[in-house]
Amino acid sequence: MTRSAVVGLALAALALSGCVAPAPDDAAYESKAASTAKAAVSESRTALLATRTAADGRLLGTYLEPVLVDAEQALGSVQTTFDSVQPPATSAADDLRATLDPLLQSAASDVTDLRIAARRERADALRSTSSHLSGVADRLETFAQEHGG
Amino acid sequence: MKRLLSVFLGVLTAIGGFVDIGDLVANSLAGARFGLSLVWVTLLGVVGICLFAEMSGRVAAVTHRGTFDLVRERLGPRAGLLNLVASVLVTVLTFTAEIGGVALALELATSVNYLLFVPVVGFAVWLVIWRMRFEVLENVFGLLGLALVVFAVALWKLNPAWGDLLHAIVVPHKPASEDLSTYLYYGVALFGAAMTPYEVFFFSSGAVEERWTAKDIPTSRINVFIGFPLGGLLSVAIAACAALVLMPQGIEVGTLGQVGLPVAVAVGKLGLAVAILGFFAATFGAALETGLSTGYSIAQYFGWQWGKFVRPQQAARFHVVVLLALIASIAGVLTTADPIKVTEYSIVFSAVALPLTYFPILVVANDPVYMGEHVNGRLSNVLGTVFLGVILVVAVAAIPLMLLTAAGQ
Amino acid sequence: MTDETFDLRLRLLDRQIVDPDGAMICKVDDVELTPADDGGLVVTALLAGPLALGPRLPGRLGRWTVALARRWSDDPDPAPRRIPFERVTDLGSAVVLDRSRDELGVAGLEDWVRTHVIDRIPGSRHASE
Repeated sequence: MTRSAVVGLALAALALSGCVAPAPDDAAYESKAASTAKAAVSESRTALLATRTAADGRLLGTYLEPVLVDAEQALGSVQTTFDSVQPPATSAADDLRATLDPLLQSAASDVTDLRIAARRERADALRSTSSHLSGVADRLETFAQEHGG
Repeated sequence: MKRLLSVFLGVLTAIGGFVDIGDLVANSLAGARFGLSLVWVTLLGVVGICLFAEMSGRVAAVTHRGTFDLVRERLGPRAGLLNLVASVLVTVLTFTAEIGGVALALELATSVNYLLFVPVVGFAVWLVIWRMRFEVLENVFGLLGLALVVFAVALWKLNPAWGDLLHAIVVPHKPASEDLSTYLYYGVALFGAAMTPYEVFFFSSGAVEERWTAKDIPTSRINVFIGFPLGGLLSVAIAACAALVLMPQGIEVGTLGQVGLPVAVAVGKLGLAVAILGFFAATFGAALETGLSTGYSIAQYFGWQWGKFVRPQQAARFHVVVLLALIASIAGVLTTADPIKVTEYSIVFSAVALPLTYFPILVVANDPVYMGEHVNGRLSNVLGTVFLGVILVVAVAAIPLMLLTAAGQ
Repeated sequence: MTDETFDLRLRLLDRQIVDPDGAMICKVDDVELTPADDGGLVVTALLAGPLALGPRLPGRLGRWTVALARRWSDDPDPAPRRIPFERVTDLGSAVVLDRSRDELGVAGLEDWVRTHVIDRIPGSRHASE
């Protein structure tokens, strides 16, 4: 085969392999899970802080919305990135995923609810969703700390 | 009395004009993640920019020539061209970040998506450069930038333990959960944010725009040595607010909205509105400066007529270059690349380009043929050489650190 | 003219050229030297423009600059823009000439850009306010 054909094939193989990130070992996967949880904590707590400050009458309504929209989008992308990583074929990795995924899901849907309730100016919905999200954020934070975050 | 007022105005403008999107993002990000353990880098950067801004202002006042004019003359066309290309690329990247910053500030004020503001912002930037007189441009946006003092107010209202704060600044302690390489990477970013290259081109070209002579050197020194450090203190206040409000919550800064949250918590709606005004003024002012600096650099290298002190007709190529840079920056923002990420890259690449910018100024400021009796004194030279060493270390370390930490992950 | 040695590279090359009013014209991109009767070389003209600067830029970049400038010119065998040395009245921080910019006719690109772009934008004739 000519040199350029070999190079072309190698590049194609590389490109295809990037479609799903390679399965890391347990330690790397755990570390990835921990950093994902940390990022999710940051976005959730941002949404919570903004909502609480708005409820105290200290935040402009026009400011709250972009903050919540950004947090919502960031949470979505954090979850997508984590899910795109192929977990190693161990039960430990599966347990990690089983614990983290629902938490990420819960956080994302809570922030979406916050965004909608904020737009509709529903103070009671904001309060109840906030307290739920606060619990989720705390559990995410504990997860991150337990797994090396 | 009038003279005193004009000096006072100059200092205020220097304070308000000090912070740009790079400083806003870098200081808030570092404060939220590293507490006050990187403030020493900001302070170091402030000393550096004071040193080199004073030199470049003095050079312009004595020679009546802009930086790049002298860079090509002193270093030759080849080294000068390398310098020009690197500086223009970094400045246009910064220009893109600033325009993104203006749009983000408007998004926070109106809830309207920032991308929709970009064409309007671009047009406004161009219009101000086209029509507004240089002194008016500097003064208006410099004074409006003083709105960022609200961060100092917020810090005061947060009522921190001042002794602990000071201790954390003076005895930096990297948080245990962070790697040394990430700590150093953000140190590089903070340094690049404080010592942006375009600042020096703008300052020296501005001195020529305003027709400075050797008599204006003392005023320039007051502006630089009082105004810039106070502006630097604003950067520290931004970091401290993030450290006190965001860090305990585990919030990491990735949006401009997060940068302003501590002000809302501490001061409320009015403070937040002032902060948004500050964001707008700082980024819009910096957009004007980076746009003009692109024009200054290129025109000065080739010897074209440049500046706002002549009619646009007399400086056609200069204005076209600014317009092209603006179009490129608008296009850059409209790619929907995250403006905060663009900002982070712009400050790291600024750090890489720093030696190219500052070495020629040190050389020219030392040359008695250009400077006559105003040549660098012993202190300026010693400090300047020491800083050049620091700048070289930072520039060499920047890209490896960026790769090692995956841009700060 | 004094007898002191004059370092061309340091004091003349790449220097800004201005007219008597201080308006910026161009840079000394290169210098024309002519053999004198006593065997030495005399500066007879200042050269400007891409055809003058191009050869001083390194390698391929220099060659492309010259090639582009030739392509752009109407002349079949273009020469760099030439300012006779007699025009120079002062050699200080900048090179001062005795003719104003408009009278010299060295501004090819500036004129083109002015007519085709800047003049079409309203307000180009007015000073900033």
